Amino acid sequence: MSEKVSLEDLMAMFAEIFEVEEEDISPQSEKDDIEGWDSMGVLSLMAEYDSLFDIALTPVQLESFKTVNDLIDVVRSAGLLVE
Amino acid sequence: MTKPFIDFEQRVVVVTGASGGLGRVIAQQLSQLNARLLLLGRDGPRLQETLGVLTGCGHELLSLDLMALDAIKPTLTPVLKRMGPVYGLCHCAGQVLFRPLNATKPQALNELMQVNLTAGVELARIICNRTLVTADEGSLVFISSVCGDAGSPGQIAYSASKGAVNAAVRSMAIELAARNIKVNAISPGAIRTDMTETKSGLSAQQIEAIFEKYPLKEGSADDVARTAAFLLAPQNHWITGEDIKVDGGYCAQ
Repeated sequence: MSEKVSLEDLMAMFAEIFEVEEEDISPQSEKDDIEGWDSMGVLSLMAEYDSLFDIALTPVQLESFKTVNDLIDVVRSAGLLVE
Repeated sequence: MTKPFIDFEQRVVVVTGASGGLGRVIAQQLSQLNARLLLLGRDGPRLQETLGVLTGCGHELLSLDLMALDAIKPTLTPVLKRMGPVYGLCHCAGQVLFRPLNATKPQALNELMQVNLTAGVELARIICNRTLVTADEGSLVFISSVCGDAGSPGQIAYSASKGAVNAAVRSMAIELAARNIKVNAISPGAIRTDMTETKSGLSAQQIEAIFEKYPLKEGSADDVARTAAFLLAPQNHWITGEDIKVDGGYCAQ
C-alpha cells in the first residue's frame, strides 16, 4: 500500500528527479524552465510515481503537465498528499 | 603559442581506487596534466601516500567504502560542492575474484557486481547530476578488463561484472551525449599491481605464465594511465561509448 507524502518531501523528490537544488524549484515552477524535465526526467518521474505511489502516469497526462503543481495534483487526487 | 596536447586546465576529476594500483598511477598522470583531483579509496593512509606523489595543488582525498552504496551520495556530495563543478570521473576501484564455477556462489558474485558495476554507476549518477557536473562538458572513464570480452576459466564473476560495465558504458554514452558528457571504458590486460600480486590468489609462476600469453608480453600501469588521460582530456571531443583495449594484443589473437 502506498504511503502518504508531505509536500516538502514531494518537492525534494522533484528536485532529485529534475536535478535542481531544492531552493530552485517550487510548485509554480514551469516545465519549460526546468532543464532536467526532459525525456529522461519524465522516465525518472514515471518510475518514482510507480514505485512510491503505485500511480502509472499516462502519455496523455505527461504531455498535459505544464507546472510542478500539475505533478502535485496527481498525488493529491490519489489521496496521498498530506495537507 | 602551441597548445598542449592534453591540459585539464584545473578541471575537477574524481578518481576511485586511488589508494594504490592503477588508481594511483592514473591519479599521478592526471595531476601532471593539470587536473585537480578528488581521490577516493577505502584506505585513508594509502590515499595520503597517493596525495604525496601528485603534482600541483588543490587535490583532496575522501576515505569512502564503495560497498556502502547508500553512504556514497551523502558523503561525496558536500565535498564535490566545495571543490566546484565536477568535470570527470575515472572509476578504477574494483575487485578481482578467481574462482571456478562451483565456488562462484551468489553472495560472492553479488559483492563483485556491487563494487565493479553498481558502485561505478552510482558514482556516475551522483557526479552527472546537473547540480554538480560542469554545464558544458564532462568525461567518464571506467576501468574494465579484457575479461569483459574474453572468457577464461575461474573468471566467471569477474567477467560478468566487467562485461556489465562495458554494456553500461555504451548506454550511458548515448544517454549523456546530449549533455556533451563522454563515457568510455578501458580494458587493460593483466597489469602487475599490488592487487594482481596479493589479491588474485595466484602464485608468482602463475602470474608469469599469464604474461607469456600476451603478444607484446608485459605492459605497465603507465600504458593504462596515458590512455585514461587521453580519453578523459577536455581536448578529446569525439570519442564516446568506446572500450579501448590496452592489452598488448591479447584480444586480437
